[in-house]
Amino acid sequence: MNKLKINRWAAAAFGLLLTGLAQAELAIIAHPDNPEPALTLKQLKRIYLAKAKTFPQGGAVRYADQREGSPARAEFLSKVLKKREKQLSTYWSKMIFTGRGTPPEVVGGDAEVKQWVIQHPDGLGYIDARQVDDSIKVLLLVP
Amino acid sequence: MKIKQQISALSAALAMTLAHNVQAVDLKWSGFLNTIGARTNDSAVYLHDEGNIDDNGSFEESTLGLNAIVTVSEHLSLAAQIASAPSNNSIDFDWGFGTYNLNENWAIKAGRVKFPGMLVSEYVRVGYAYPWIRPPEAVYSASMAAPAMGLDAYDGGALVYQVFGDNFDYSAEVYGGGRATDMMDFDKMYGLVLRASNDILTLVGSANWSTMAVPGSVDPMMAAMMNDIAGQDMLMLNAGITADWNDFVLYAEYVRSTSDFVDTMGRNDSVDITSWYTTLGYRFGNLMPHVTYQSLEHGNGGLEQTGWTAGLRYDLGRSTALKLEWQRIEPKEANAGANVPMMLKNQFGLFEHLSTPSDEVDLVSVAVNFTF
Repeated sequence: MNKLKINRWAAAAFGLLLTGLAQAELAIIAHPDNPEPALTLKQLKRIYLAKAKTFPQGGAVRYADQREGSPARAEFLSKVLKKREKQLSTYWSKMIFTGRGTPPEVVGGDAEVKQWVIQHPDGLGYIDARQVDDSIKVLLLVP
Repeated sequence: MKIKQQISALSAALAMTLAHNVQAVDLKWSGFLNTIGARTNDSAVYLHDEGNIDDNGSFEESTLGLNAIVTVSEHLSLAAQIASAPSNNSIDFDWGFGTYNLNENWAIKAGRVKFPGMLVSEYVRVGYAYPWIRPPEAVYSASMAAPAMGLDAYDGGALVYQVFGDNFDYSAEVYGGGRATDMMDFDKMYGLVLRASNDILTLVGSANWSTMAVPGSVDPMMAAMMNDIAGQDMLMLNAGITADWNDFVLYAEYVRSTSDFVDTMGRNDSVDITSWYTTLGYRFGNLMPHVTYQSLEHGNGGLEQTGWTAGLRYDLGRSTALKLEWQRIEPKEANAGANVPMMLKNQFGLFEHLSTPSDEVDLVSVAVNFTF
């Protein structure tokens, strides 16, 4: 009986931990040779909504998206784009069918996006901040 | 010999550059499909841009579109769209233009550009992108807006300025050009469009001028009607707002079209049309019920109608919407004696041959909107 109770507590604690994990900090990452010193949240949002076509200093940008259902994507939508999935899909249908721009390339999860950014000098991506290492440059941390 | 070598070296270099660029070019295909079925409870013909509707039912509004966007560089992109309407068994070159981004603030567009002066005019054929099955006809029907504007696309260019403020993104667009179709020639179309938008709101205001000519391909009866408004400068003013806040959705738009001129009989006529609509919707998850009131009025007693729409949009996944709408339209009989251009007379609202004028007509429509 006691043991069961303890297990329940453990499960609840684990659940809390998972919630904590799901609300992890996001790192906005670029190629290590990218000359851009940093990005603001607004500059980042403009690039990801295809309103700005370059990095603020004028360099070409290719931006990667994470697959639907990935925890980082959910964070990115609510903290950076401030749109729900449905609003975002309507937004892109308007952008595409007016010829204004196309959605970011869906690359995969944290690991795939990191790898993709390393391979693309003009690349921009977002990953869970705990996955950051020396192979990439961090332009912004989104708490 | 030397020249030949130089030429072949040059062409090799050119081919390599091209091959390199083609590899770097990013091409994306997309498409949309609207399958629409509609019928009225009156034998009158409801004149809609994409096809006419009567009590036999109609699928004429159904449309298939294909879209390509090529990103050549961070400065240059090319985009084009073709669309097919089963009603006329043809494929239209809907629009296609190049955009050159000079910097973060300035861009130039050239080619066939969709008319930018209204809230949804640039994607008016893409049902998935808005709540209704067809954008409110009082404002969006070409029958209504044609005297002032083609409502479709112009062949020409635009200069766009955008600036990102703290609370809003702003843009100003100056455009100019013309458009010749089998039905109508617009010698001149030009205007100014101002937009402000943020996460919740989009505001649009525009002033648009156009001059219409009658092409030779139009049959004499129609040409005689159109001659009334040919060669005259027409002005269309538009103001629109759309809001997406929490789960509330709002659209409201106002259009005024005016022109003063002397008709072929030497009489002073005038176009004086005021139309508007308001739509309110609320999202319950994937389901969004919405209501619309719309009004179209000719100041001199020409075509006139009001209407209520109750609609339901159901989103299936990320790319499909099922829609159901019931519309009650109240057309008023045009006053044939007033100084109204022929084109806008002898109709009952947007209806032709209404059996009992000034009666209400119900219109039921179902649609599936799909994007890919």
